[in-house]
Amino acid sequence: MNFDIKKIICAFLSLVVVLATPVYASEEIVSANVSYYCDDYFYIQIPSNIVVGDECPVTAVDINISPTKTVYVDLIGDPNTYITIYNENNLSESLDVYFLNHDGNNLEPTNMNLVSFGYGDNGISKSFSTYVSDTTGKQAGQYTGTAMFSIRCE
Amino acid sequence: MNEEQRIKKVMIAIIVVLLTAIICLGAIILLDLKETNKSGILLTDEGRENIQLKPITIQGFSEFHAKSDEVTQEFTFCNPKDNNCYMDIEFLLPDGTKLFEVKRIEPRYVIKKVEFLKTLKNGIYENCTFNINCYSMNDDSKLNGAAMNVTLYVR
Repeated sequence: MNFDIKKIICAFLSLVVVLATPVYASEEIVSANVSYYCDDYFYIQIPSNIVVGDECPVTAVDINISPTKTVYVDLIGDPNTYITIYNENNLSESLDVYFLNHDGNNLEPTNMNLVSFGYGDNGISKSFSTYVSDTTGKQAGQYTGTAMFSIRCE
Repeated sequence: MNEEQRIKKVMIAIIVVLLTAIICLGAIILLDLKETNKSGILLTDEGRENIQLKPITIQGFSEFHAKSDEVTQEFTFCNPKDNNCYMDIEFLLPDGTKLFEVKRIEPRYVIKKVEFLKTLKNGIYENCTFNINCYSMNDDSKLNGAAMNVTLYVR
């Protein structure tokens, strides 16, 4: 009887040892890269109207972009570096409105950028301004038009 | 006593004059605001007060992910609640083909889905244009707007 108990204990311990022994030959470590890219997003405030001669603020309300990227606000000219506005009483009379960027420089056909914002520029305002070159001989009255801004994140 | 009454009357007169002046100034500013709202760019007349209207907040993005061969697409765009204008949006493919448009989005409204005018195959469509045109809520006149260069990923 004692012999039987010893046999059973030995068999049990052997089984435990066998089961607990790692089988190195069949072990395989598999790794996988987990990644997810959150798209850039941003909220920019542009002026709804522009009073010629005044400073026009553009504000980065909320910017969540990659640190390597910049949000550029450009003027879309028609098709030059200026915008044409028209006399409300006589549409054949027009004036050209020119833009000065944040640094006070005139826009160029190859560089229509007015202001730009980088990573972390939340709440920052930057201004551009406008002027008309020559009103000599132009019909009196109110001249109006609209501007389109190109907003890009690169 | 008479002197006190006289001072009281003078004080009342001064207050009435000041209140009248404040009311008149407020009315002038309001009228001018309404008139200025007619367009995006304004060349001011001589002596006219320069008043800038409330700016327009625009939601920006640079990528749009869509499903291939499907018309209904998930697309989130909002006209922020602080705006005081309607927004018309349109998405153009690089060749100028209009992919979708939504008109007169009121402030604080969010678009969750759009209907493509044509289905697209898998691919990356660079240099798409997303136009945002803004219109006054007072007289529907066109205000300044924006356009974005967007890369469309279709999978």
